[in-house]
Amino acid sequence: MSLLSRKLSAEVDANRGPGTLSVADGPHQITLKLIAASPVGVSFDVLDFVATDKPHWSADALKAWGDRLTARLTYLMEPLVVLEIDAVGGEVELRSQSPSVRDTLRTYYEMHLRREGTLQLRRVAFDTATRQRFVVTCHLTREALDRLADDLVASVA
Amino acid sequence: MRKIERDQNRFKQIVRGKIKSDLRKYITHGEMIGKTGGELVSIPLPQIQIPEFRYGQKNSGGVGQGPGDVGTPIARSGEGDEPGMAGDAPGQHLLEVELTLDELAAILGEGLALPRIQPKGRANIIEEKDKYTGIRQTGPESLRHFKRTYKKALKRQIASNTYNRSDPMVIPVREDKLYRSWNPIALPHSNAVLIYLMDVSGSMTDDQKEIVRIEAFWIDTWLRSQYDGVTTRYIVHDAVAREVDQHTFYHTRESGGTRISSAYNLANKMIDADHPPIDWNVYVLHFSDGDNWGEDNRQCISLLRDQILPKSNLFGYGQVESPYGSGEFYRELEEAFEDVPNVALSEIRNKDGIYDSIKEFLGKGR
Repeated sequence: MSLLSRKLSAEVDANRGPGTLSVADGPHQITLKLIAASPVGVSFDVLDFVATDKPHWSADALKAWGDRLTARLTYLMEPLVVLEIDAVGGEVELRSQSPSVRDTLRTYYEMHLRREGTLQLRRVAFDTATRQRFVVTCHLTREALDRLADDLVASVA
Repeated sequence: MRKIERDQNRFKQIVRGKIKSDLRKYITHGEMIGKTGGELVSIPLPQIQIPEFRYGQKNSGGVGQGPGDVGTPIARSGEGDEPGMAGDAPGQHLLEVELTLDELAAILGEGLALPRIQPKGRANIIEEKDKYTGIRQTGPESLRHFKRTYKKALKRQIASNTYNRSDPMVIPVREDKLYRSWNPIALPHSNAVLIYLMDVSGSMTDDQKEIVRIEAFWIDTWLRSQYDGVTTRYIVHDAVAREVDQHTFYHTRESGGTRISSAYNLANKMIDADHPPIDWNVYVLHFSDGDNWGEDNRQCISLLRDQILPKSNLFGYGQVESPYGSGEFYRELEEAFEDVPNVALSEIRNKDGIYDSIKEFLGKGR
């Protein structure tokens, strides 16, 4: 367990939400827009991760980062795939391989990696009835959140 | 008109009616697109059953005869044989009829009640064609007018009293010979250019490209029936755009991000360089899942408003739905160009949506 995930766990214990909490360990920083937390799980809107020790990522490096993440993050609701690589804008987009379908909602993870070494994870839903897309709350067990923090650190190492 | 011609026309009407009544099915299934051979399209039709008398076996009784009294029900529900096994006999064969693309376009136009397109402005290229309209006294032997030459020779022989009725021989001399001559005639020729743009970024799946392929086939068919000459050009884009051939257009897949403005820029350059709107009817048709990146939407709208729309008869945008839903680009265009007459927007959720989408694109009669 990395120091970052331990700090994050302690911070979540201290702040049960709602609110924004941020923890850092050396060059790595995680910011969570927390909705609610309990001893079992957490709900959040957006998770941001920054690796400040590598300020400029090339398109190939971003793609490789994306590939490492898809290989590691196998415990989320759906496996992720690298969907689009924008070499011009210096951005890589990952999404759930197949969205989960429930009633009129299709929900999936969306992760953006940017050349500044930032990562943003959120969960998006598309309502086939209203034809609207919107961000929904992401629910993870505490164990999965700790593991996610560890894997984010490991993926940039 | 001979009877066989009447029968043939009647058969054609039946076929047209059958295709028209099932037009949605034919449009939705892309099967006929692969069957275009030259100018003909084969369409599989269920067999048309013609009523006929069938004779029973001799001495086996007539109509209404058999066991039972008058009024006895023939069968009750629940009685009778058990459901049978799968048959081993060959199934019913489909009749394939061949139609020209113009006939198919006419059926499409009737089926969707499409207005005919009025080519805009001058939009005409003057094409010269030679037509045999006159007669000259000199020319090559291959163009000699046989009838006029012999008439003139006959007149000369009668006038000079050398024509013998009992021996009616007409021999043309050099002065009698007349030849066909031609004049160049300028014909107005309406030309159109169709520029197809497709998003081939990682989020566009093969199913979505199939929808684009089917829709483009029908739009092509209709526009070709409306203009003398149609030039088709293809642009694919992810974050960058490039011109490709038709096969690449439908089969390529890239993993890049989506920057729609790159395609609009290239289309605009193409129009300026090769298809000035004063001579061409310009159609720009774009298909995407609408997941455009970053601040690109604003640039797209300004490119459309300032460059492409003033030069185009019609700009059509079809947003095909991906497994991740439908992107925001459609709504951006809807807000920006709600009342603009030469903009047609269409959301295509699946193959069944193609029919209505074609109508949305072509229903403006532009």
